[in-house]
Amino acid sequence: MTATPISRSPSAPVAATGPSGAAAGPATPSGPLAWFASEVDPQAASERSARFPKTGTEWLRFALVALQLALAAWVIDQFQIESRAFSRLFVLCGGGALVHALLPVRYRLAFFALLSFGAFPVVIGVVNAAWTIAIGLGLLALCHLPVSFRMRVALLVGAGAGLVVLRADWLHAPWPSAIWPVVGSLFMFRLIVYLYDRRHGGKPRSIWETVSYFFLLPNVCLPLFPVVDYATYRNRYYAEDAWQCSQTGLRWISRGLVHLLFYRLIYYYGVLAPSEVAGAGDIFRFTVTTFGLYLRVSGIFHMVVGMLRLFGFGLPETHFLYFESANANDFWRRANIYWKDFMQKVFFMPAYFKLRRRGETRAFVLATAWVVFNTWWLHSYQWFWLRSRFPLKWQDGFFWSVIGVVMVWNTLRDRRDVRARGRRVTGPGGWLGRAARVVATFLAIAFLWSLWTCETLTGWLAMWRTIGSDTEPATPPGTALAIVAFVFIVLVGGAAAARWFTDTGLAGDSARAFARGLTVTTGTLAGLLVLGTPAVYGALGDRISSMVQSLRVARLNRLDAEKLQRGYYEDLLDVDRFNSELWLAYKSKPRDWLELHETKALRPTDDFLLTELVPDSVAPYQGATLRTNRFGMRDREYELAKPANTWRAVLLGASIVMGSGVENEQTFEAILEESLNARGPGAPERRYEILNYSVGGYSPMQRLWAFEHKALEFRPDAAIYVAHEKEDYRLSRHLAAAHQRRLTLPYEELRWIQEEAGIDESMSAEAFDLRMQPFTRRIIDWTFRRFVATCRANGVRPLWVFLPTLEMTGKPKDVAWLTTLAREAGCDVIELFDVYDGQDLLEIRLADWDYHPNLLGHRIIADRLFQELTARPELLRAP
Amino acid sequence: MNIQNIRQTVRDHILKEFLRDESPGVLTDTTPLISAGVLDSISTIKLASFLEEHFKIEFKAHEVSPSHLDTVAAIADTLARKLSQPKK
Repeated sequence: MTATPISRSPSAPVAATGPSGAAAGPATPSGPLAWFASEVDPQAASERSARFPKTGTEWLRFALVALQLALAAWVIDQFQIESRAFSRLFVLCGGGALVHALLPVRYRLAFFALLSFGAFPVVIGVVNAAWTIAIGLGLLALCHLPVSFRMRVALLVGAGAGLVVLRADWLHAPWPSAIWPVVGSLFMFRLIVYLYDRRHGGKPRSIWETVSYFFLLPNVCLPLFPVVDYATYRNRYYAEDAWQCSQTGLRWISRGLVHLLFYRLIYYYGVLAPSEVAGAGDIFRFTVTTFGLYLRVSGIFHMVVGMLRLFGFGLPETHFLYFESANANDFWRRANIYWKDFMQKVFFMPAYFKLRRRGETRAFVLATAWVVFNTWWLHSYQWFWLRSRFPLKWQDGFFWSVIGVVMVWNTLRDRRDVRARGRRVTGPGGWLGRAARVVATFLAIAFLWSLWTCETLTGWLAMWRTIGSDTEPATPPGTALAIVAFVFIVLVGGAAAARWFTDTGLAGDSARAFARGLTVTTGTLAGLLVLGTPAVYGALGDRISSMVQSLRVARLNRLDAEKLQRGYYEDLLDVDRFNSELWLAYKSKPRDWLELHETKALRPTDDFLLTELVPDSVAPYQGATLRTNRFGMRDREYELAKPANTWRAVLLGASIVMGSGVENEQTFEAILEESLNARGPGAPERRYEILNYSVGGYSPMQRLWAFEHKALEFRPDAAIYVAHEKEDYRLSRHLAAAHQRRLTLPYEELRWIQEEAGIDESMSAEAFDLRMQPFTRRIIDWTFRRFVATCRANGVRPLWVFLPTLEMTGKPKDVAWLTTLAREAGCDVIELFDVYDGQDLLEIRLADWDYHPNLLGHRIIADRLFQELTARPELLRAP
Repeated sequence: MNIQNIRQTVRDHILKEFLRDESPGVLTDTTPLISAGVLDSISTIKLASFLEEHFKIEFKAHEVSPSHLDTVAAIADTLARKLSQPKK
């Protein structure tokens, strides 16, 4: 056996420092620069290459680190990892790391702290940054007041209580609400760790160490952040070779990117809603993909620690092959290791040492239970700071209770046989046994995880009752088998490969270790870049090509897009506590970002329309001003009588067409009208008028009703019905709302359908929905036919436009039925499925929390419609 | 007891109890134990109990941490410091 440094983890640090940290006190510089200096032993640091590169090898390593940083930044940009802000932050981090490597070591901490401060205004804006930094420095000042430790703790608890009052909105905070997740993420756990370590450890090297610990650079963009241990942070500072430290960081960054892309694959293509599950195949898919979503956390954490290692902090890894855990305790030790260490340090050890005089077994059991209890409520505490709610859900209690019982049992067993855990697994039998334990643990945790993360027990139980039912599964049998095979291959293969992972020479500061890390990282990053190149993935066949193309875009998946869209109408802000994507979309939403029903521009009606815009109203609406004319259109003023030599159309649509989030003159309707009047057939003599009768949230039948009861009196030449992919969903919501208000359906044909569906007045909205769902396509068909009939009876050309929302995740074929119905009804059809092709969706949407098109998006739509209409001039004539 | 003797005692115990299948050469004075996952919380407590009993000292909760017990060298330093302190 060779004398390779042993480790159970590939990230094993190679050197360690004593309790006092990395360095003894050197002579500090004098003059103004002294204020920026931190105590680091220059001799020791120099031995670890934490110095200005001198040798050719050091310059080569510097260049190779720079190259890998550039590749990583490119991958992050190419795949839109996390957010645009993160992409900018990573460039700042990479550039900063290179400058940092050229600085004298004693100034590096100050530089890192100032760089971290500098990231705040870049990411969250100057005002938010100023508030965040001010609150943070205030808390730090309390930690360092020259009073007793108890008094400082009491003051901090008081300050914390004040912040709780403001966070819960019991009192209005003077700062923007957008800073809460950032402030919470910076201080909610690190203050606890910092106080604990200050109580028991040495003093910081300098103020920069403290400040940089709290304002850690990547944290401003990533509120889901590992609980970095203060003692480790300070003790591991330049405790290993600086180049190797950076190289390991880069390897973890590339690993994080792989995790995040796998997560995205699962998020886009794997997850099912419990209501969609039918049969064993779907259940397997549901449970493993729900667990698989945890890759987002491990991916982000790998990236975070990787980025910190670029600045000399030799932090250990946060996750270690956690899908390969062989029992519950093993999982606890491998998944979110920083959390485990935090619990062990702050809760387990103090409890154990307090209780051990009364018997070791009792102390073990009670200390473990204490850890489980604190893990449970601290999860809710975390969500309180991030999302202002304190979700004490039964699922959390159940999940942590089961984990707790199993952990206690395992702990007692482990205590009896602690030696056995020091033995290596050998021989085929040993590996087979381990593989079996890994598979069993994975399935058990995935099962528990699915219960933990489900929204309701009823939904979860209903899912299991579908086994053996006749309902058609969402997952075809072949795909289900492929998922089972993939999971088993990964788990069993991983168990066999674990030895390689634990024994390779990736750790260590030798040139060989650096070279191996470099090879793995560069290979991974280059592979991702090549895969993400259109010329490459375009040659991989339609299916893979479209999959890779979709992975390049950060967006909500089908289920979350539906939830976001529902949020526009139904106040759906209580996103599930595990839905990090939707939460991230919502978290920055300003308080004054009102939905249409929250403005004074919308009012209820007594008829089937349910709501309408208030004539002559002016209201702030989603960052713009919504103005209506005297007829209640979101448009300029028109005369009732059509002017001579004018082509007049009425536009019937929902929120996109109404222009959510843009000014009146910025809607695609206004831009199109202007373009037609400037460059349309016969212009400028011939005039064009497009009257916008669209209202946010209008269903197909509301559009029809508005046409028949309002728009027709303007004697238009054309009626333009604008459809999107959620026509059936909007229709069912509209009919359910009308049913709730006990409105009699105004069309006879609809009343027949209602009768056929077995609807009665006393029915709940849910039951009504269920009964009507099979009939929605038939009602839409009827709506289109009625629209055409009304047009023909009034000499109006029926035009039907399909305009996808920015949330549309399906393919044109998924909504082909709508186009078919419109054509068969007799509409002239314009399909704009590809209107956003080639566009960066992040650039054309209003905001992270609102996927309506912005001004650029409206221009693109208007230009395309102009092309379509002028290419078919007959559409611009009366029928 | 000098520092070398302390290190040897600690090393022998770790090899015997926690690294039974490893060659003695793999455990150097600076080999990370807790931070590399060689010792988990139970093993760490077991090690601390042994050290308390063998060296007639007492650990406090915050001392059973990587700062004090991550390497043979760190353990020996901690023990030497404790042994040099007057008994209460």
